Amino acid sequence: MRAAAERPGPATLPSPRIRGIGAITGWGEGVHALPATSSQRGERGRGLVTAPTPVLSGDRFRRATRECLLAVAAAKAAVADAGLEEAELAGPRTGILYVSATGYAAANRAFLEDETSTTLHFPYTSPSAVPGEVTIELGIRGPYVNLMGGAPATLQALWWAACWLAEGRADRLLVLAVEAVHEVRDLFDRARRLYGGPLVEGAACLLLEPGEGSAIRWASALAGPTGSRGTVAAVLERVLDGDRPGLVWSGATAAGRKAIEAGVLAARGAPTTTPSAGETLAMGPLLGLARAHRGRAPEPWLLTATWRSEYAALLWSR
Amino acid sequence: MTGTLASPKRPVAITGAGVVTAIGQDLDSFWAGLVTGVSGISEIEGFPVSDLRVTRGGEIKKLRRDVPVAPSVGHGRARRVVQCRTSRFLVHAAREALETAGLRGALPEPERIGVVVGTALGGIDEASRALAAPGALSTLAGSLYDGPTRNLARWLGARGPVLTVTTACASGATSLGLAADLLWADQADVVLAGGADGLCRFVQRGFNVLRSLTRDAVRPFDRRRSGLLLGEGAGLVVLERADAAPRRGHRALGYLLGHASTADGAHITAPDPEGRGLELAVRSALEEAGLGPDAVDLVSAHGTGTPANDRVEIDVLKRVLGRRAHAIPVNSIKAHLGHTMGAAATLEAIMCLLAGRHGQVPPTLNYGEGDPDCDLDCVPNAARAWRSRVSLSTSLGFGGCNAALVLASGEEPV
Repeated sequence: MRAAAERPGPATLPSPRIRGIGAITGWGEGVHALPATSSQRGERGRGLVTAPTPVLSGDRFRRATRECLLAVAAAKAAVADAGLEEAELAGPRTGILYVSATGYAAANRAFLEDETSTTLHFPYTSPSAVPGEVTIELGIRGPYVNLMGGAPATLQALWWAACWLAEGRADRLLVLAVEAVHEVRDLFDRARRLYGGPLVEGAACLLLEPGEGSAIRWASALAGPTGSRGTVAAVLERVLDGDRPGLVWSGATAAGRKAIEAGVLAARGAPTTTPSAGETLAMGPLLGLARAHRGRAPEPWLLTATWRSEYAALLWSR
Repeated sequence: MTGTLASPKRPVAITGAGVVTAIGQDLDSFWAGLVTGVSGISEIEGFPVSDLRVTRGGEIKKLRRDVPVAPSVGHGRARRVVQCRTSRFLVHAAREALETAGLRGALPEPERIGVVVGTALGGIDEASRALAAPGALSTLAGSLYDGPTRNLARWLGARGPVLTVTTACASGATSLGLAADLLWADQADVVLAGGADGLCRFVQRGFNVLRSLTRDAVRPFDRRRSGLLLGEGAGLVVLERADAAPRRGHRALGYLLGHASTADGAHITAPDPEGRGLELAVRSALEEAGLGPDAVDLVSAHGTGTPANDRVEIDVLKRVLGRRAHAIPVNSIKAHLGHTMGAAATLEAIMCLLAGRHGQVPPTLNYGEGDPDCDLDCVPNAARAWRSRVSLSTSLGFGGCNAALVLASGEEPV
């Protein structure tokens, strides 16, 4: 194997262009509905910010689960925000990358606990039913990958989106994340101490097109036996590669890792981390990017994420 | 996607492989079972099935009891794992994959090792235990979809990119494609990739209510085919850049030349009747490989034995491969193993590589009556001597998932 010093740095690709944003969360519809501060979040005593079930017309949706409806509604919102007709996404030139940490839990629990469940229920226990409904609704037949995990998986999906668009595998990509916890809240309450802020349900979707010029960089690593410090520093080193971010969206939730990250970034003169909307799991990076895009924040944007022992970071420019 | 790639990507070497299946828990017994027509289908004993319409499947009866000692990685501390059934499949397959790759004791630093696992069920079998055991955070974590992947990464000591892919029953192909992309992009030097799923009451009951399971034998491409039977297991391969194996004096098992995963956009459970998504996946994978239809020597079909799947798949193969489709073997090994879900596509990819190595093609079992809609050479019932170099493997899954892999067996890329 090559020695570390001989390796090229992380692959650099153009950051995709954000053409449309769809966000339907427990805070409301749209990016502007997200709270900017912890006091606005009113998180004291608030464990879960439940997303309403979108109402979609069409007999097909009569059987769909809440997470499917959230996914379709967010995707439609992103298409509308892009100023496109839905028919323009139909066919092989649009792809989809779907990410979720919890988007299957309610359907699986219901099927596990109800032995009388029927034919109509079982297909929706598959995580792929969620993006599947989106592809059916919009007629999408292009590249298609589903990743399971928290916010680091979303950073992976964004990096893959950049790869696919740069390679010409698709003209447009939807990067979609859905989180639905209400029906399994008791299970997630057991892990309460691992979350930063209230758990927030919903769906977030970015409609991406090929970008020009500015680089996207991604790195990810699991914490080693000696803890997170070296992992966080190494990941940030690879991603920043000497650049100073104009905005930092941090998905680090555990206090220890948050402090390590803040220390590393402060040493590089990075700006203060922007507040999160709560524990939004896989939706987090998409909401962070959406906010940075809407707010025309100074570039490049650094997004960080944690899930279990993984720490990941992504550098994005318009 | 057709015509859009600037140039074919460099091939990625498959330097090792490992399997755990109902017909064998290592490559040799797996291959022997495939070519001699061993069926792993039996009455399920691992969980209650007496109230279900179909009570058989490709269940692994005697999973090796020993838990493999983890390879010494990074700081050198050996790790032991005792986890859920799916995780145990994975670590047993991983041990063999690393051994056949010549990498045990020779792994790169942990940050350069990636893990990509495809699964249709994740840790669902742990979920019932998590629901029944208030407060057990570790059981809860294990029941997540990425539970088995994380367990494998922990066992291996990998600290590079770790991905859990769930494109349903195409997951084991998508995972290999994403792993190859990680190598191409220099995000890792070694990626352990594949798929795994464990048979459990959750999924057996689910396919029962869907009426997708047959009470007859699994009969891919046969006119009498009436459904699938589920199976379980794991398949993992070691992927490295093409120049890595020769540098350490190791011979590659084969190469991943091209891959693609696409959507149907048609139905949640049934394949698109026109197979447009699968056709795009096959054409794109061939294009990425830089090969035309005439280069394909063997097709490993998804071949579940359901009426719709097999017809759609054969239609697509005829459209894409043209006359070549009638000149080469097109087999399915699901009658041997049952449908192993997340593991299926990886096990089929490994079968393709072994077929090239041994100059033989495993048969499609239980074939008796030809179907005019499936009139390709499915290698009925008996293995055949056949020299194959380039193979195509196709997969489909719930949610309208399709995937295609183009593989080359042998020590040199095509």
